[in-house]
Amino acid sequence: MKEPIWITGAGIVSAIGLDKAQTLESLLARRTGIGPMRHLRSEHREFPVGEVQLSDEELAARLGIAPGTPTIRTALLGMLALGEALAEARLTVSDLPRTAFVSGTTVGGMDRSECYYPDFLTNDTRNAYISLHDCGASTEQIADRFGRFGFVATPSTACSSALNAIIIGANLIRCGLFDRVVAGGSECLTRFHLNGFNSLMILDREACRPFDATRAGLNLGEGAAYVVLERASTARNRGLGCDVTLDGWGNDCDAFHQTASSPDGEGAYRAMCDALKDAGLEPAEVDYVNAHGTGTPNNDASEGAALRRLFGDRVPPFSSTKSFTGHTTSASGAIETVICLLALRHQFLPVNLNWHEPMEEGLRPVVESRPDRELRHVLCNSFGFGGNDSSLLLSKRQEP
Amino acid sequence: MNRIYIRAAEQISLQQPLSEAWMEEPVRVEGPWARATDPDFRRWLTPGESRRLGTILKRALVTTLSLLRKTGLEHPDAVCVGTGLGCMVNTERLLETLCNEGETMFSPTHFMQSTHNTIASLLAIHTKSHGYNITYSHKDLSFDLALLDAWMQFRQGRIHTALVGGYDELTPSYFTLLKRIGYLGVEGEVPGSEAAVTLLLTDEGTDALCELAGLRILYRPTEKELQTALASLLDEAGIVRGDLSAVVTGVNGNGANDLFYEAFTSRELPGIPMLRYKHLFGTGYSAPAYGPYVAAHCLSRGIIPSSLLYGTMSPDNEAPRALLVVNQRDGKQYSLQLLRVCGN
Repeated sequence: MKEPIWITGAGIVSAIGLDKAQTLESLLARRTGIGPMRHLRSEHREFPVGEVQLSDEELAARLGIAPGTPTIRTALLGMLALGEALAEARLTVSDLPRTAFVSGTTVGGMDRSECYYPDFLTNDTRNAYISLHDCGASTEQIADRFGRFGFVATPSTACSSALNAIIIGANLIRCGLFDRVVAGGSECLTRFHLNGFNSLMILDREACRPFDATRAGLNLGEGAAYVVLERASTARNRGLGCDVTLDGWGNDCDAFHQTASSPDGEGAYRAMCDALKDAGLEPAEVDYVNAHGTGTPNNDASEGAALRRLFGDRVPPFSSTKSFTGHTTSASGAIETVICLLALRHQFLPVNLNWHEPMEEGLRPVVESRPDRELRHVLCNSFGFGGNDSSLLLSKRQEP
Repeated sequence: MNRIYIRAAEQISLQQPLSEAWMEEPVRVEGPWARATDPDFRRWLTPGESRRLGTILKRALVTTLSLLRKTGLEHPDAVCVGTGLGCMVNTERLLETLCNEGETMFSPTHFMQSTHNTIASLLAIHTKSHGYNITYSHKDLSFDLALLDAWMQFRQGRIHTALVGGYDELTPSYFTLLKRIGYLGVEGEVPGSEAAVTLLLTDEGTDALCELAGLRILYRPTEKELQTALASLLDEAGIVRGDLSAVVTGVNGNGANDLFYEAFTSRELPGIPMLRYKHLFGTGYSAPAYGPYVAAHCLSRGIIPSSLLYGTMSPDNEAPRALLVVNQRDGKQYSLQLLRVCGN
């Protein structure tokens, strides 16, 4: 029998809030964080973005980091979210050597590299940022602020990086390598990503409209989120309770195209099936799906097809909260996992903003946040370029 | 739990590509910067692929295709990749465009081929593998983490075969950057570009190269924690220190780096000979992928080439039975892998 994995802490930072309380409030008030650019210095001001409200300087000040200390935005966002997660789980520096930290990112220190690259090539003035460029460096900068974690790893599977980090964390626990893992991801906005997504012609100049017939692309966002996963017995021994458990997960590959999703949603379908099978649940037991739902014509059609394949004509309530946060790319899987946790904890359905008209095959996302039945089991989808499709099954803890 | 075997291991590096010729006739490479020796890609790829794919992707695809051809496997259950920097050539091109030409000239092709997981994705598309697919990008531990992940999938019985590869490409300009911060290019090192892949499986009936008897990954461990990890790794495999034929180290000519391996070996494994491989295969984020590659071929052939010897102690003339692969970077990340001959 698999021992349950409890979620004993969570932290979240995105365009709709700097912690769980603000995030919950925005979700319930239907207040999007997507708007005009304020911090990102891009020429493409025609694209709305989901920016975290604080500038780099404000983030550093909030974290008590001395001005002038070399930092990258991905790490600053990560530190804020990790601090909240550790505090809720009542973890201190002495617990960290027996705790693993798995944090997904793709952008790493690119926000600085894209500014200082000419210096990198010609002089020594920005060397600290060369050292902070790679993905692993940003994870270590986040981790080292809090002490000495016993294991640190950075998965990078594009937009599913953070969800895969949570899957890796769960596997570390199931394999008996750690009793406790903090997992999630962090990603800041960059001109590099904005221009990359723009070159693929998948950015919308309007607010994104996931699963709407008129959807025309995504809005990029940024943020970070982490969950503390803990073997139930270990958490109990620490005197902790728990209201949400991680019961199943699936990681599969669409194996279709480097950036596009297959028309039948093969990878997405497999990931959701595997998560359900892992949790020992039937499709009918799923009460809500937090969809990947980027708002691009391709993703939403493919994911919609996968939902139809799995649930037939009984698709449970589903929504894309990217209509609030924007697509936070490598952090999205963790941000949406924490949103699912809030939905289970506070028994509400996160709505899908900006939806008016069903897509061709008729799927209708959630627009009313009051659920018509108790939320017990939810699926959280996260897909990435390259067909890196993953899904988690989270449950409201039933046992006393 | 089923045992895990390395069925085959393939490489492109500073040595002869897709070959173990280095065991008899190693190519000696001098720093400060050297190109990997590529095979004739046209023998493996269509003209479209040759044109479209960047070098790192070609290397990843061809090492994998060679491995699959040798073993007859078509669809691995899992594809696990480690890469420290991802597809650096395309990333650099985009950075240069951004800095020199502003935000109007971004190439979608370069962007698509710049993300770290492009490699694992390409391998999955090519082998039609819908199963577990993961990429790690964590400095010099990237490959080791991919290997640990494959091990976790095996351990849970989720898979029976896995491709585990390590890939990085070093460009002249990025070499300049990494030399500036002392990460690469210290006197004595041979920086390289890496492509190494292993095929792991649980089937005992095949003629595998060796068994992967266990592994450990640690972050900023104390001396005591490292000691405990080594002891439990050996215990679980039922072997004692004296059974180790040698320690395969990441010694690379950089004194500060080499000192760690010398101290570790003399402290934890006194009397066990040290081996090295980075002087032949290069130093870089994915160079640790050559560690188990080298160890697996030594165990399979029952010989330790003299070109690998390091230090004053030589292994005895008997065929090696068990090898410990040790990898560390900057005193922060540590990895131990235990490999032994099949049939234990």
